[in-house]
Amino acid sequence: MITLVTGASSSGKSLIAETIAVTEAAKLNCKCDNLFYIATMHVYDKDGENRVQKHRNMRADKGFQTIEKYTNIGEIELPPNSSCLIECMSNLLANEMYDKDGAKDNSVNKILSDIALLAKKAYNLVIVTNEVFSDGNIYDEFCTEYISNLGLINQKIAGISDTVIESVVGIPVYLKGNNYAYI
Amino acid sequence: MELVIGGKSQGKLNYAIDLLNEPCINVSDGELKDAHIIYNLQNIVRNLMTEERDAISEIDNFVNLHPNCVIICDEVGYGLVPIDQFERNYRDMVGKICCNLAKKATRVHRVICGIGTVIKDA
Repeated sequence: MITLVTGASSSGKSLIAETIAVTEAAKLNCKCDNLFYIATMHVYDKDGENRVQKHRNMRADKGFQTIEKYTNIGEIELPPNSSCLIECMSNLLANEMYDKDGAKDNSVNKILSDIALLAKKAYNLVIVTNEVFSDGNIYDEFCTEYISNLGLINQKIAGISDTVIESVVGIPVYLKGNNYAYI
Repeated sequence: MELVIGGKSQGKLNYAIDLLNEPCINVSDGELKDAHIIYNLQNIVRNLMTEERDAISEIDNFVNLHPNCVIICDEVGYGLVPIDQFERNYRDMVGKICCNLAKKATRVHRVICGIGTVIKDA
């Protein structure tokens, strides 16, 4: 089961995604730890540190086991009856495109095949991505390629997702699939 | 006329092609030409403005002559106000023209992650 959560920055995507990941994990009635959080953001500066800390505080006491992984997330092992939140696609893509151990020109295919691998391993995947497509700016080739790759990844993941949600001021707007009554 | 809007790289063209569901579909990219689909309307607006032509009335006239076309336009107004005056005018013009087209359109679709939502159905 895959849920894609998109939306503008600070539009409440994380809280919605966490709620789904936690609630679906609880439904699985698993005796072992089965709730995971794949954190994809590299910390480069103080702002990054603050951002990561904000997210850690938000999900503290929710029972997530955090896995920090910046590229090649398909190699992460997850138990079959687990629920896993991946946050977020915009960082993962930047890492794959620009990190020295990233997939570079093959980033889109690499990420899509990694997501497919994780979707086979875990029972439930929740993926957070980002809306960066509507500012009307004309960017250089470097940024244009990134934007076009993220758009393509979002389309492909939405295609294989059971549910796609756009978070608007914290309100889940359902683009695909059934509503989660508990949000 | 139907209007399809959404951000860059959201799959708007494929969505419009599926919408028409015809064996042979002509797409005019960035030009006001006789075709099933007018793609990248925002580029048409930019070019008309660069040539100091009246984008509002030229596009309006085109739609009157082609009442069955599908028009695809990027949403461009979700960023900060640009510093450059031409870029400001461009964003305003694209927004205004999309509002005009939405009024005339039988249906308006907004595409995100390749998924279209009908936001107006007359």
